[in-house]
Amino acid sequence: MTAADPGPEQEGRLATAVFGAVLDHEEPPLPAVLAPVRERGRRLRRARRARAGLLGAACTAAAVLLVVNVTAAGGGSAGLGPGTVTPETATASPSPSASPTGPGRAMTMEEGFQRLREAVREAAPQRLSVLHLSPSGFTEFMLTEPGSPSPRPGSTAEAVRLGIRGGQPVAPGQSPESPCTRTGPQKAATCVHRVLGDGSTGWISSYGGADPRLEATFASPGGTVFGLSVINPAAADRAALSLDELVDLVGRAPVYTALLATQETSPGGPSPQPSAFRTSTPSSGRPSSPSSAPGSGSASPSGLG
Amino acid sequence: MGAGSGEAGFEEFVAARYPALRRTAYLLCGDWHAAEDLVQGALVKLYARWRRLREPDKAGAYARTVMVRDHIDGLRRRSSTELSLPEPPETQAARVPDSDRQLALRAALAELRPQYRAVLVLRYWEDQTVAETARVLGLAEGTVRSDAHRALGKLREVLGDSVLDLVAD
Repeated sequence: MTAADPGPEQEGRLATAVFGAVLDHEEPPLPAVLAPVRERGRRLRRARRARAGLLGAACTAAAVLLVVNVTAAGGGSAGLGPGTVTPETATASPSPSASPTGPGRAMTMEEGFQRLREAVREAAPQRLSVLHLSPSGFTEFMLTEPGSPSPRPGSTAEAVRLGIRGGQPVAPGQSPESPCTRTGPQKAATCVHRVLGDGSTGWISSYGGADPRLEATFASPGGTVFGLSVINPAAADRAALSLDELVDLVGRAPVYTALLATQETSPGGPSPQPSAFRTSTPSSGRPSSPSSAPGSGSASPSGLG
Repeated sequence: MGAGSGEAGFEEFVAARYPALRRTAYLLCGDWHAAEDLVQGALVKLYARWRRLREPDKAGAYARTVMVRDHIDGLRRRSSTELSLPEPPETQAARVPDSDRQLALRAALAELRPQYRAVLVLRYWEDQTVAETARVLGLAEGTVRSDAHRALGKLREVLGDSVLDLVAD
């Protein structure tokens, strides 16, 4: 009790006496609380992180706008060249679609896919249109412009599947493991390190063989791994989405935000990769080692990985 | 008390502070089971931010604040009929019967509005200043003083002459 408190000492004694008397009997045995506290505490921590990630991703994406300078990368749509994407920052205010569920409620997976579909629909090259997004994580495109510059077999009816990529989170500030350092069929043919406008770093990789595809896999500054994969029945170098278009698509603010959100909202953390990717999950938190890929000549993160 | 930053630190904190926190919670709500729920809820929140605590020495104050606020907020959400029972009958029957005096005291505390009771617990059981009590409860200091005065007046009114014996003890 402070000296300035008008309450007389007598009053304090009365309250203390009442409380003491109430407690003056045998207390129940102490329960085992540590295990449930830890379990619930971890869940609470994860939920808070997810909410913070959603909000942060929305703000980051809106502010940075992820203008991917693909021309600076030195790689055309026909090939993979080394290069770091120079961020061009913008100061846009958060878009209304950035956090559609509000800060108080975590987005469900279905809502996340729905949001991604809308974002891809807006951001995809005009010659492509989103036909379908299944809960398994595929967005299918159909070429709508038969006379597109890059001739593709059956281009008028060729479906291109666009898949969501995820993976185990990496340490903040780290890149995902380079797909070119993997072994076996999961090893990419070529890898280009890229940096998005918000500081997300990752790899654009192409795969040949029986499963030709392009993949863009990035780690956000907070360590969330996300990306897109273009799976095309045609050869990777003739994919319906070029390398530059893929990077551009991933880097578009709404797509970027939606992709990050799908990873943040996946039950139990980062979502498993859709089975059709048939790629191993990046798990290393360290920057990748030099790639043995054709055309790679640099071990630096800004070169081919 | 000081608290380490790791898991061991949290474990030590719980071992050292759980009994006192539960007693405070019991004084707030009058039910041991509810008290344990209150403490556990506070510890969960504390654990979730344990590694980021800027002032680990204040972990106890943090837990107490969470507990008191959760209790008050919980009561506001519930119907008033749930406030009248100081303890569920089954928990009373499970232990040694309380003395008449304890029953009377618990009944007297149950007569208090939750906010009054919280003010008394924080001010006189936890020995917090008026300012700290006001901060925890989100009240003005003047409100804390007047609530304490009214709460004690109510206790005297309910307990009657037994107040003198109680204080003399």
